[in-house]
Amino acid sequence: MLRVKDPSVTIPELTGKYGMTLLDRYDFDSFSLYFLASIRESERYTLTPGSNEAHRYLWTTSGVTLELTHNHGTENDSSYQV
Amino acid sequence: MMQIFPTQPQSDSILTTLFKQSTPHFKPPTQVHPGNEDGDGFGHIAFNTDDVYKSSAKLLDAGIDFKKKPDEGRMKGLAFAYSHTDKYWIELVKRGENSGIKEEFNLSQTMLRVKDPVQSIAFYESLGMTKVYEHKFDSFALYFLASLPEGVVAPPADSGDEARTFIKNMHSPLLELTHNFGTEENADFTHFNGNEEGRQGFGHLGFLVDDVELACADLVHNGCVFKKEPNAGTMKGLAFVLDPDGYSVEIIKRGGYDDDNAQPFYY
Repeated sequence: MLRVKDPSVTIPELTGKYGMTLLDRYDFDSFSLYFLASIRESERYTLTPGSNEAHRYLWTTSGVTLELTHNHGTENDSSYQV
Repeated sequence: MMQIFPTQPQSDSILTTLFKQSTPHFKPPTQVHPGNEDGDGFGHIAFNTDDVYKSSAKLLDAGIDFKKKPDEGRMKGLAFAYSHTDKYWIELVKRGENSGIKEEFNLSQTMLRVKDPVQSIAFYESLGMTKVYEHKFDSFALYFLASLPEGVVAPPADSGDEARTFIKNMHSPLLELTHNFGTEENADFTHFNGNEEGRQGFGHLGFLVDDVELACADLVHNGCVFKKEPNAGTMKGLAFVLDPDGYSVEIIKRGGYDDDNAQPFYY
């Protein structure tokens, strides 16, 4: 798990530039979690992040995922040091 | 045999929400710290690619900043990009010649520095990982560990090129442990684990297991210290254990529910 300041920057970066796939997400009151993986082309991922099907996939995968934690509000905090 | 797979992330979720509610001393992080300052344990994540020079050029064209381009420094052909905003280090590593991997990138490593590899490797082996490659340099050594699927047999970790080829052709990510020689002999030496105030970037590793109680019983037997025991707090059957360096390691039930009587939370 890595914390990120702004998932609207980091997730497109990891999916667009490094070819990762967003598998799943959880949104809570004060934070959100995102799970990404490098998926082979032959295993094209069609589930919707945040859906029960995606949750089931996530918690039963035999692969390795990268979890990002976003604490809400940090993306708007200019004093938030990175 | 209990199957255990590493899931760098695979954690928090509903479970941690409740964990936080039931842990009065929990302080929410106030800043993201990408690591690699003095004393930091977490180093970087890595992607493998067939051609580091070509991939780096593409990323540069796309506006990605680099700490080290592949033609810079002494380690030619190895690059470190920065992630946007948070400035995490993203290493780009050349993969094997005959990997059969068609995608340009595959997530390949998470690197943590460890004080004493003997203890660290024993800990991760107790979670079902296998040491698949080791490489000693003058002042440091690298150890690569994998959760191999059942039936997959890796060549000996100290077999040199054979082990190196094995890991370079893998699609699944490895845990890379860096040992700077001498730290194990300094009683006062510690790394920041990423969860200290002002150092919060890397959070934890996570392992899915079939039986959380059993896995934790084994860890207790081996003298491990828990940050959250499996039956503490509101969520039963989810544990955070500290590895020998104090890194948080989440132990979570495969399938994602907290005990035998609980509804899987994906329903």
